[in-house]
Amino acid sequence: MLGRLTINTSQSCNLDCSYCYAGGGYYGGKSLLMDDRQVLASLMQIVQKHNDIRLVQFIGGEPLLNLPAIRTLCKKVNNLVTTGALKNQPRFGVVTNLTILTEKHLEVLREFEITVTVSIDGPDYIHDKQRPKKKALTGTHAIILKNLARLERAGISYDFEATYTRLHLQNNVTFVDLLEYFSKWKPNRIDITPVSVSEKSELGFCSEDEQRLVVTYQLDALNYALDHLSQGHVVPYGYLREVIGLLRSESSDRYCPAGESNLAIASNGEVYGCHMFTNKKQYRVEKFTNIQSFPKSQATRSYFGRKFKAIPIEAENPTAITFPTKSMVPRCNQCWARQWCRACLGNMEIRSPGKPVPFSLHCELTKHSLELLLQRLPFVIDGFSAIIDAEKPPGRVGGKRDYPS
Amino acid sequence: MAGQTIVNFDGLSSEAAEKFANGLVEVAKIKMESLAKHSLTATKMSLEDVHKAELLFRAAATDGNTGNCGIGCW
Repeated sequence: MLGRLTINTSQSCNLDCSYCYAGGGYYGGKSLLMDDRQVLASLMQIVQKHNDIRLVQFIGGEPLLNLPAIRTLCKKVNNLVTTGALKNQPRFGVVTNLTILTEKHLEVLREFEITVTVSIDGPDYIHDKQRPKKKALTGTHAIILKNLARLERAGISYDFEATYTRLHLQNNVTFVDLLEYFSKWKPNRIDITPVSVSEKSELGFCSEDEQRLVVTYQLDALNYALDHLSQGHVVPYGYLREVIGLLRSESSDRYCPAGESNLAIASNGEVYGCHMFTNKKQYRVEKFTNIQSFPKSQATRSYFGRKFKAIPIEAENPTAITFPTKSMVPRCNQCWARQWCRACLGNMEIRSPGKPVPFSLHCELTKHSLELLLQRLPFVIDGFSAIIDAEKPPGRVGGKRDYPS
Repeated sequence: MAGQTIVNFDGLSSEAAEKFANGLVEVAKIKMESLAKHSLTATKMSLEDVHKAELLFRAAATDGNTGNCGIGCW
């Protein structure tokens, strides 16, 4: 089963975000719209191996620049469900800067029930500096707010994803401030992530003091969400959801599901463990080669009348990098939190290219978050239960509500 | 936080901290299961909050758009 399959519909973008890990959307390559034939061939190969996919997520660049590709892929995936090639209907999602939204976009988002993850970094005085338009370098905050209102009117659900940088610190904007700011709207989920840049970048947090302050803000936000929960109000803080999810997940030696239950198809059809590795050839999972020139006996799959063969990338690339696991890292072997912790391999690669290891401050955050959650959650749930009991209308008896296991 | 003291596990040995954490995880799971038996829809909570509470206490760690990589991401 795949938890997530990301598909890059447009390795091109109309914004020029200061911290973009994808190099302006191009991933170190040239501007590229999705090659339908190559991407569909890769999709078919992946479905042969994984007949259950929980989330199909369209990314870029700016994915909404290529609406026809999104429509084609949604139709194809739905068709795979109808024919039984996929066991269950995946959810669709798109990660967008929400600056391009025509009526046609709204139609497609509604038709395929695509959840929209909006990249927005907070108030305009921060967002506009970090996420300007290409060339014009004008801000994009105002247009995003207009388009958010249109999403709401159209009944399309959305999440927020903010990148937290030094600019937030300099303006004394904390994680809690952002949670409160985003709560003016009705997102299903709010993610706030510290910026991923190399250790020497000025956009990141230069001193250890700054880094520790950000971790403190992250823990404050966790406490804030727990405080609200104990009063019967749910703050949809993504990090809280992920940490609670960890408590219920199976123990794993892997830092993240990249290459295992997470795959990414680039615009040219190449497959990676995660979209963050796009165009980093040493991280390619496999390639699907057009084998018209191969003998017929070697052809394994056919699509659009052309034949493709899946070749594990290790077979042709002896320098392929193996994703590190916890048991390969001595300090992880000795850590009490190793069975629950997760870490982003993409961030590790950005921080120390070619030698991905977990960042010590991330370990600190994970351990403190677990300490906090494990000790507070039982009391918070008691408080939450008491509130919802007290709120029951007199004389009304409710039926049991089952949660998916 | 209403005066609650949060213990830092780093003062314990790795083995003791792991055992302690495992015990607390079991407590948290029991609490979450007990909450799951509550009828949220019969309360005055808004439908929006009921939906969010369901998402929060679901078992899946991969329910988000981040696909299980929204975990702090340092």
